[in-house]
Amino acid sequence: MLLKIGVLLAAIPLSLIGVVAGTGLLVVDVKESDGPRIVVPVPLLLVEAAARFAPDHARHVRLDRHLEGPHLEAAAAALDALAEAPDCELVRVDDGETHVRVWKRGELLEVRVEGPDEDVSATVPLALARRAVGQVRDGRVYPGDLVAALRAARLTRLVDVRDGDDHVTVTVW
Amino acid sequence: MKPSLIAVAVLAAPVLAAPLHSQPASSGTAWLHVRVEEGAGKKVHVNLPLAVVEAVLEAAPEAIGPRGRVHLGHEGLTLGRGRHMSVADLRRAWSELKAAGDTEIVTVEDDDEAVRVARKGDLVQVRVQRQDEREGVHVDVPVALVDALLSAEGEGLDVRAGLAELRKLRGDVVRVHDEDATVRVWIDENAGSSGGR
Repeated sequence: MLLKIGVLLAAIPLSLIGVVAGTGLLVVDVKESDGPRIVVPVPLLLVEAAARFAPDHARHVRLDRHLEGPHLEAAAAALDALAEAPDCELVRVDDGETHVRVWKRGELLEVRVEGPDEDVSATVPLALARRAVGQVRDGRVYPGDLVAALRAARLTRLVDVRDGDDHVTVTVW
Repeated sequence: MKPSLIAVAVLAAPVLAAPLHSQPASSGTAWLHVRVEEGAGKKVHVNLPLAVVEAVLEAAPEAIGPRGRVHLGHEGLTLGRGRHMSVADLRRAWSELKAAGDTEIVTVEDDDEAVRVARKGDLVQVRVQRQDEREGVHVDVPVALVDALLSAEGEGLDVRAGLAELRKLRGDVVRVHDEDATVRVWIDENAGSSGGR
């Protein structure tokens, strides 16, 4: 009997870990040179669920109409076409000690900026960017939907910023 | 970068930044490459699938007008130093040039600059040479491309027709050299920027 109770009790956290692992985890890791290291794990499922159960007016952010326009149409078209394009290095800029690279790799758009003082890497899932641009174009941004789109970028480091001894990363596991 | 070089790049921009359609002549993906290299190690390389360029411009009605035409306004093309040439004048000159075959179209010489535009085979060559520079500006544009661009009426360039010609091209579209910088625009089927002629 005790064994059964033990198995049941163990099953609860294990199931939770399984659900979180299966649905994705966003981890923000901030390491400052003269401060504590802060790690914030955010289960994607939790954010999605919170967004779904929120009142309708709280589920989206309404944007000013001036954000709509041909530039957003062009951006949306570019992202759609890029998603279909083969992998490639799109942009390479070398200017003294500053180097910029933009790649399209699979479903990801990767941007890396290396400067004399800091390095910045950003990885943008095309699915997320397409959804975000579409929502901005429609004048309503649904954060829950955007978080859900991060599932397409599992095991991806979205942001990596090094500034001296400070280091910030945002990773989707 | 010198004003003439910038002017040439600006003139080339509508041609390059226009919608392209599928590649009937090739099974591979066509890539538009732009490479700008200036002194002191400054380099900019851009590689874009033509489909992306097409999609962007199809979605930007401000860039391309009805029927794929770009209108340049009353002053037409700016040739630098306050000189302008209307598209209608350019079209007339072009039709005469085509009839003449290989020849010099325009030769302008003043105290510090010489401009020469000539047709040589399948290329229109533009050369700008300043007295105080060892190297000048060299631009080579395919004849068929100019032909297509000038097929519109009035003060407009038919960008869509120009792009129909560009789709057939593989190799250099524009190449500009001057003392300070080189600009090269070409089309090939390689995703990287090291190909081309």
